[in-house]
Amino acid sequence: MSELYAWLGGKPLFLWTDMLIWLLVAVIVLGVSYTRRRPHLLEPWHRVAKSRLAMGSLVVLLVYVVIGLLDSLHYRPALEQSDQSEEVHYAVEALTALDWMVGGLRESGEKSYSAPLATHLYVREMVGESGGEVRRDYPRLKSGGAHLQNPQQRAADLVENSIVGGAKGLLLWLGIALLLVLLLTRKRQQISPRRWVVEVARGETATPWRTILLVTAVVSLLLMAAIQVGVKYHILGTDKVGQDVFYQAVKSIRTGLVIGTLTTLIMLPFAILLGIMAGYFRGWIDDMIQYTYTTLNSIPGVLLIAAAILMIHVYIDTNAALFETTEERADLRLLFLCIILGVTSWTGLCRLLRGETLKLREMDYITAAHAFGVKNIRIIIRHILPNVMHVVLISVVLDFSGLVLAEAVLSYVGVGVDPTMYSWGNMINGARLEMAREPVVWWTLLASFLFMFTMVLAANLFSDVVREAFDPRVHKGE
Amino acid sequence: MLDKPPLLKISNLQTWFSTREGAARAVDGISLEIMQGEIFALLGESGCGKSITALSIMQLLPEVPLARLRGEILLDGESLLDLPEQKMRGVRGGHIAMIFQEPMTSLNPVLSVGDQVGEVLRHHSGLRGEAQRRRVVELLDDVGLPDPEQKIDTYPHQLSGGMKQRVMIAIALAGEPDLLIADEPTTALDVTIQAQILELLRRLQRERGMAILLITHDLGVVAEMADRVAVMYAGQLIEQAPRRPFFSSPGHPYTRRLFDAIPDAGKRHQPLSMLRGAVPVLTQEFHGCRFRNRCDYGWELCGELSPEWLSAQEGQQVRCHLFNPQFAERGSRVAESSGTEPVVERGQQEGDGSGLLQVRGLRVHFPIRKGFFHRTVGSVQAVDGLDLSIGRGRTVALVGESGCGKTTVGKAIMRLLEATDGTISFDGVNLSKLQGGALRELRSDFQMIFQDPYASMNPRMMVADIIGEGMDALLGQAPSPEGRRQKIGELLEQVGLTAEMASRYPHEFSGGQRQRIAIARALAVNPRLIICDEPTSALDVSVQAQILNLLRGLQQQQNLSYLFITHNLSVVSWFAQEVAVMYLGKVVEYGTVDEVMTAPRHPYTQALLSAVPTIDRETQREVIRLEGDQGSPINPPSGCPFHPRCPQAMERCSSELPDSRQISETHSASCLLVTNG
Ligand SMILES: Nc1ncnc2c1ncn2[C@@H]1O[C@H](COP(=O)(O)OP(=O)(O)OP(=O)(O)O)[C@@H](O)[C@H]1O
Ligand code: SF4
Ligand code: SF4
Ligand SMILES: [Mg+2]
Repeated sequence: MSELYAWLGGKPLFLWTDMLIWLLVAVIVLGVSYTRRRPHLLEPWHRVAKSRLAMGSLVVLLVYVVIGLLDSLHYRPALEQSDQSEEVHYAVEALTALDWMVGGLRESGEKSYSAPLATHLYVREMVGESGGEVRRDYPRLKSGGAHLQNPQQRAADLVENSIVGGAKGLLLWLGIALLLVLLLTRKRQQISPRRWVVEVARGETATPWRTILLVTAVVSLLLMAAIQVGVKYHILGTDKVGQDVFYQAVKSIRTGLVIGTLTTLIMLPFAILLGIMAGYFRGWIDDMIQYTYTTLNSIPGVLLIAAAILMIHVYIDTNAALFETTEERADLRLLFLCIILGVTSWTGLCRLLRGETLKLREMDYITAAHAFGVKNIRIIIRHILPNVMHVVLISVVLDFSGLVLAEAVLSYVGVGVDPTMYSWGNMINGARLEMAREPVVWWTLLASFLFMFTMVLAANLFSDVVREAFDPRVHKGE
Repeated sequence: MLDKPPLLKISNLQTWFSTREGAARAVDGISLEIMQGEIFALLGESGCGKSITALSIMQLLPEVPLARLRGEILLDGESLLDLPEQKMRGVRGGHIAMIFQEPMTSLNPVLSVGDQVGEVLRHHSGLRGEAQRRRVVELLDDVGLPDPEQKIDTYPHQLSGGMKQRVMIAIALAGEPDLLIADEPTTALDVTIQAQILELLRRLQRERGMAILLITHDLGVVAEMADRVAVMYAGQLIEQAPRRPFFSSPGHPYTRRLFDAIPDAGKRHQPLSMLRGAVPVLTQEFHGCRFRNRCDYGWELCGELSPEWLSAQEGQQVRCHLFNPQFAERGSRVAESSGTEPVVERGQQEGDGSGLLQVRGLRVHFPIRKGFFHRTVGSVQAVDGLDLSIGRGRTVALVGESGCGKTTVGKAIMRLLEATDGTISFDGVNLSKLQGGALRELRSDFQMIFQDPYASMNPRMMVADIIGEGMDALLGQAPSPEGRRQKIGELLEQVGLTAEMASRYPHEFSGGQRQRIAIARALAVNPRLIICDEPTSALDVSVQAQILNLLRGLQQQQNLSYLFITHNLSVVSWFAQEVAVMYLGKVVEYGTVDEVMTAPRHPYTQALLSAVPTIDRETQREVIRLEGDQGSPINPPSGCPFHPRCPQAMERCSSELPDSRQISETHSASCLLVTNG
């Protein structure tokens, strides 16, 4: 095994949140293949698929998800080997597949602040002239625009690079579009590719392919241009220690996604089990569950979170030996944040499910099942659970963006993720001081805001459509 | 009268909705005229477009994309379709008012009754303050709400269904409309309440000279109320006639079938006539007659040429080729054949009648709990001392008004509810003592069919799994998946469906088909007793006939016993052998169908029977009006529970609880007026 790692030049690192994320992916894949075979489950998704808004925002979300997933494959690169020792040593700092792909961004460190797309540092430093004089000036950056002979050429170079990047983006998009045409027209043989293209261009297809392709075009153009320019410049500047802000913002995507999804994954079993039990069995079980969540609800969530984070902090400090890498420490804290957020937020869904179950248990088909002597557990699994799933789904998609925002707030207050972890909350927290500087360093805040805003907006638009598509009250007649 | 211009004139109204499958022709070319002060009934089965016609007149169409809204609606010569929304608001309420089927949902729960009536008054006549309040009281009094002075400050949830419908009518009257559109105004109400509301509507029409467009599916209500009748089918009018010719000689084949499908005592020994097939889907383009696929008299021409509006006798108009003088010869042949259904003599072996189920002194009280520690503060006495017995292969009907405890009786027998007291013995085994496994073993012997075919099936399960559920739970694992599938296929065929339907989901079926699936589900475990809780009351008459025929056929094949819970008395006389009439948790009269239906002895039964609207108006019957509503089962009246409403109540009725008195061997009633003998 270790030979293999040595040969690969790195050793995989299995973080808790990584494993859970991939577990979630597996669950979703299974769920999709299960749903595909059941027309009545597919029906609301068809409604979602017909909405231009939903499909457009889904494309944006998918880009985020792909980045997040790439960022959830951690490994520890092998260190340069000293000639004598046989044993391979691995770095303390873990990298991810994403880092491997955009390596240029990560390594291009500067000394300190630099503005977006700048060629010089944002702060004056002592610069040694060739003549031996020393004076304070803005020094050239080490990597941002370093390839330019003369900083004056910057504008022309930027334009040129954006055009090249844009062209690459266009190619990428054409590739995607071609693939789509091939796939879709092969699936539905009766339609010729040309006819389909015409229909898409006119926006006549049932699934809004035109919107999907337009959004994809915008995204791929932006993406490729950003990469093209990004390896030569710091698109969004650098921070205090000279790290690329664009890279930080991209790395923060994973943190946001983890918080938004794992929290619900953790809370779901509680909420579903307790909610259904309370509604189905009534009596003292109901009383106990109700009292529990009423009590939990009346403790301020921030208090619980702060206490739990402090506890985990103490634990990590006293057991430092357990963690070989910084990522593992930060990851444990992230996981705990998810758990504690889940514990404080299951009550809402639980209450909803209790109400829904109360309604369902009076339905005639439940009575009929009782008349057949069907056991309670079977009734719950076969009759109640499938019929409350839409409530669960709606609440999960609605909660997602709220949780992403909650992370930002908590990190800002200092009880969020580990300070070494890339996250929008930490970026905002850092920006607090930068905004007070003279001259103002505004790009960190802008970067985190842009990235977070895009994701939350896309998620909200998508979840609105999902909610409408699954709400039984809206589609009674069908 | 006919030379006066009509109050409302609709010509060639078309209201099409655009759906995914294409344009749904909900209303497709309707023309009719309503005269000043007449009651015009629009009759039709669910989904035929009655309500959309009404909503088109009111311009209150649901917010879905319209594919087409054409034609002309003239009210007093003014075209409503061209009126801007702002003017239309004045017409609504002021000239045309509407009341709906569901009084529970059409009143605003957070406004008092007085506010809701007052709002309309202010809008239409600008009345305010004291004058407005006086007028509201007048209106409430006019619609027969008891003590209007007090009721004006109550909220909808404090009123019963009948009272809410009265308030709705008061709101409708507040704008002094010329035309009242009543969309199934009594469908959600009990017969005795229905009789009150119908009488109220008739009185208001007489006193105010108001025209009423009465939308209903109930031929009985039409017979009681209408001056003229129009029948709607698949978006079109297919027959229109004054009441008398309509009932004495219905013209269109569909209308005739409808008449034949109504169960009554006279048809006891023959199966009910059924319409085969189903209503055509409205998204297709029609060629020829829309009734063609179900019509017994049709011929090639009907499939090619749409029939015209043809005149028959006495102002009757029919949309059917048979009435075309060209085909007079065919027409007369049909006229002769009508009414001569092949009378299939019913096998008189109605089971040996030996006792299968015995219920003695059944009591079901639901505790009312309040407060933090759920103290019991009282109880709903839903069933209070009930005796019943059902013989093998026989049907006992349990009738009574909503809330009298019928369903509770059924569920208690099924042991789905714990009985507070009493014994239930099934084939000699005392069910009320059985628990757990022993009870589960017996469960396959008795099963239940529910009222609402939409709520009685898990929408997320396939038909095969729905039917298989009981088999799996009660009969043990099926020998093989193949055997199971075969059994399910057989069951589906037994109830008139096909085996391939097993892999479909409930939402793909109509109400009648779903009810068949529910019957198959019950039959799957080979029960001996089936409790049918209003199995047909959510269905149209023609579909009801199919289900009733099916149930009777199964009874004869498998010697099943039924406890048939219903409020529909005409079904009872066709279907049952014995009847138990329930009032406030007690059986007040019990006997064979003939005894109870023809010679009722209990004043409640008498009133109930007299309140049922009947088709043959020749036998003029006196409706015994019952005041008020059934009391509350939380604190039932002392003495005879019926005494607050009983027209023959005496002094001692309020203190003395009448016991069950035997009238004949099979007939008994609990009334102090009845003497043993
Ligand atoms: N679980 C329950 N808890 C408390 N009260 C109940 C419960 N179930 C029924 N009741 C009350 O018991 C009475 C009888 O109810 P039941 O459902 O048996 O009437 P029903 O005759 O079947 O009426 P319907 O014709 O409307 O179906 C009603 O007053 C009802 O409100
Ligand atoms: S036109 Fe033909 S098919 Fe239509 S109702 Fe008359 S006879 Fe039947
Ligand atoms: S006992 Fe009295 S109140 Fe009751 S039904 Fe008979 S006459 Fe009426
Ligand atoms: Mg009932």
